[in-house]
Amino acid sequence: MRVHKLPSSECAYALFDAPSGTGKEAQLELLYQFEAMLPQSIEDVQAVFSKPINDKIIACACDKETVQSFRSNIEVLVPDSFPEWIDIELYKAHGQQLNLLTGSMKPFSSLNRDRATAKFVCFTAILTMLVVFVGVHRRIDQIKSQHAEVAGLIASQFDTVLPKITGPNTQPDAIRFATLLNQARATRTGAVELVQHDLVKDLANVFVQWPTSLDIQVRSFTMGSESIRVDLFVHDNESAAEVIKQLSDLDGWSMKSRDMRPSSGKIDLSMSFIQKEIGAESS
Amino acid sequence: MKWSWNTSAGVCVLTATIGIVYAFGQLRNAQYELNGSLDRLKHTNGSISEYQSLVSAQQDTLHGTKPQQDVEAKIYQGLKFAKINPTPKFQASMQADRAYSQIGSNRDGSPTGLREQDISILIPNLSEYEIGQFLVFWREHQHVWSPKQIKLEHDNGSRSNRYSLQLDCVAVYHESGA
Repeated sequence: MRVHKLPSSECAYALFDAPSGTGKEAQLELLYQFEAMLPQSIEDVQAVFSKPINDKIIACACDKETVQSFRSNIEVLVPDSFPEWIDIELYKAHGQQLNLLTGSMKPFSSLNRDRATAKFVCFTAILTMLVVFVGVHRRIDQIKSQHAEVAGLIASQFDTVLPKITGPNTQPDAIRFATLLNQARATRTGAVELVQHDLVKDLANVFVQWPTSLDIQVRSFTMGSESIRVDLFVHDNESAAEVIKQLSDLDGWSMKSRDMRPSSGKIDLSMSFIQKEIGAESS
Repeated sequence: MKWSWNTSAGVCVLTATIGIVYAFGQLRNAQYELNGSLDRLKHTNGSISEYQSLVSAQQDTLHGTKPQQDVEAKIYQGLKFAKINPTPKFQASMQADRAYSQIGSNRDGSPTGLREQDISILIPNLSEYEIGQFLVFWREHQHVWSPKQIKLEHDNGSRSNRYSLQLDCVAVYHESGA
């Protein structure tokens, strides 16, 4: 670091009590105090202040033009000595603090360094942002493709159960499926005992044993879960007896009653049956 | 404020920070959406399995509160199945409904909100074969309307053996119309 010591005769000095405030306020307070003591305007000089020691601050001011001439090739410009009325110990302790090449009079080399650092920081920040953007963009693309894949899987799942419907007013698959599922839940409660008695099967069993070889005209046939009633016509008593004989052996049924009477040249035969289990219980 | 390289660097860093935060925000949103989709897929799989197991079980209640419409639809399907042409003029007479109770349980009220509906179906002018086909459909392809009584009545006017089929059935449906 190139240091130059300026002859103390080119600078003005002052010794102040340390200001009560801190920061900019203290700086301004010192400047106003110092300006009152200077033969020229504070704007025309480069004024610097030491740190407080023993509640005292040394102020040093030098003509800006003089300081300006050192900015291009010097990095630290300090007075070579202090006037005698300033404690030499103070000078020894704070001499280096009174660098006149600060603030608006910073050396050009320092300014260049700052500029390069700022450029580097800018470049690094923007590069980092771009790298993050590219990385994040690629990751988002991956996620979107996974998302589309999952959406496709969901759609294909729905396709397995939903009927194909197209049209402008078609509801989304999820809503159609929810309706279907609710319907299935409501109609498969498991709480309802469905077929108490398989009547159709019982009817088929009766007809399997029906005496088809005989000429019978069935007038009515009523089957419940526990009983059967048959009304029919046959030609004569022998046929009626044969019908009664064959139907009395109906599997699972026992004949409860029969009634036979002539009607318009035929025999009107009525029979009723009850399930054998029920018949056995009642007897 | 005087613009300087330091200010530029600050602006760049700030911009880059905001940009990075924004990019990560977008990434997080995309990840949330994907997680949501994966959850939906899981839920859908579960629901479809449930649906498939439900539909493989027998339907035991009517859907909705319109038993008349349902039974008429079933009759038409049965007549179509039995290839009965022309479609005969059938009657479907609804009886008063009542709270559902399983056999052997108390008939007073049903905590399940289910009701029973009786119906009497009368289809005239059917041959024995057509009656058989219709009853096969009724037994095999629908389970909600359980026959309580089957009655065959000979059509006295017909010379050939044709019968009226009277089918008295009962079905369970949801009081609330589920």
